[in-house]
Amino acid sequence: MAQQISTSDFKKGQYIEIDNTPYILVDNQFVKPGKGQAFSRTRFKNLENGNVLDRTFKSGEKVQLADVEENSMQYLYSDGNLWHFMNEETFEQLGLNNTQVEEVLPFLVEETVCNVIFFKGRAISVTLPNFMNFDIVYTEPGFKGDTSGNTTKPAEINTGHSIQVPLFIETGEKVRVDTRTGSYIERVKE
Amino acid sequence: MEKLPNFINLKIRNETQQKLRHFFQQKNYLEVDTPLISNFPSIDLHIEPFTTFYQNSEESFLQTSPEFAMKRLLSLGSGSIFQICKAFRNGEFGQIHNPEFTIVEWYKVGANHFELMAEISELFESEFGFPKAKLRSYQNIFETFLEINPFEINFDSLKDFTQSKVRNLPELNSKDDFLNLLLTEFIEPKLGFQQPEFIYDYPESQAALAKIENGKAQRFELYIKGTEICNGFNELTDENEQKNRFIQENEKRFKAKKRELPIDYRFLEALKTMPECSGVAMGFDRLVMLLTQSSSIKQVITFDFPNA
Repeated sequence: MAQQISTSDFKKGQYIEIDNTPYILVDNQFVKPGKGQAFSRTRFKNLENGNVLDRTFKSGEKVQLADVEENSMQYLYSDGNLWHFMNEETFEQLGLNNTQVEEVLPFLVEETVCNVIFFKGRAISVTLPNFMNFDIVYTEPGFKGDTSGNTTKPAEINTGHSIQVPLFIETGEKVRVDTRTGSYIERVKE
Repeated sequence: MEKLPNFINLKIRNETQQKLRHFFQQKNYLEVDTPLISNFPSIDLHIEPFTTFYQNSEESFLQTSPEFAMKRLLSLGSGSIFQICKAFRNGEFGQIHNPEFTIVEWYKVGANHFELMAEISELFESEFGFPKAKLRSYQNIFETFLEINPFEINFDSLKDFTQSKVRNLPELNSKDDFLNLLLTEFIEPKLGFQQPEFIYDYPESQAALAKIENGKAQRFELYIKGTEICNGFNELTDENEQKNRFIQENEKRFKAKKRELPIDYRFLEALKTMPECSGVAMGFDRLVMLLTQSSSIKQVITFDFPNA
């Protein structure tokens, strides 16, 4: 039986179970009208499908903490059906399906140490390190941008995914990317 | 290295206190300074006091507002009074709440709530440059923004209505809880943007310490830019009625599985000789937030609760 917590103990980033589904708390606002009942106005993200859930609780209402665990696992390879990860401590291997890895596919590179998230012992999703380096496989040389003052151009990275980079970036260079937003951070000198 | 408080905001905070004192002095209010620790708390279903102990004696309470002590002074002949002080409410912590916060509270002897609202509007105009405030009734805002009459709608229709507007509604047991939720979600965020707005004529069930006339509580709140800044009453002076309300409030607390609180008999005694007056409490930190365009109460106080 998972632990229960009161709305007054809500912290962003907590894992909460609602209707047998694991959520992460992304926003929590304490609201109290005049002399009335206080509420927690919350926003959750469903850990399984990324959907957003808005919910209003009475202050002091109790919710269940989700039985969620995170394990550091190295991504090994894909056989086309499954993506294979290895637990860094036990060396146990685990194959995840497309739904489980879908969100991170654009930036998933072999040998990356990822966070695999388990709900009640079952793997449900994967998160990448927030910042990762990628090779630029191709980007158009001498790209001029457009008349609207756009100062970025598309570039293909070593996962096959395309990102926007500044005009001075050339094929063969290495760049640092924020994997949560997919945005270019800086050029990496080797 | 500790994070620095926002010294520019703290300077404005200091100037704001001086402006308030200047205004009250002009209007011949006496500044008073009542105890923060008291033997009796305010009694309200939704307000939780902090408790403390003097050695081995019975528990005492940190004030949730200076109301009882100030009313005792009024009953003893103080005349109009004001106070800038700390108040404490357990469990209230968020964007515009800190469990320890600053209240400005004042009582105008011989004035009804409309006369007090006029003076508050004058305060905001003359000291802080706001436009003249507008008055709207509680009924009017529900009719305008939600097209329901909060006085006539029955419990079941109100519940259905709220469920149609708010997904994943928590379980609520009274009309007031639904009205309060609708107010916070759909009305408050729209109040007081053109000019400060007073809301008046509250439901009887939300009278707290206000007089009731013709089925309406003579209570008001002031909203500026979507935030509640003031809460005031044409003060109830009938000690029997007040005692009954405390008993009922304790009954509601009992049903909500909250502890019942001891009734301050000295305060009830004082009501017998308290002059007719109107009084108001203002959230000082929220006023400073407005004047500094701060989005969080943290930005206008020295150290917030987790850092205190």
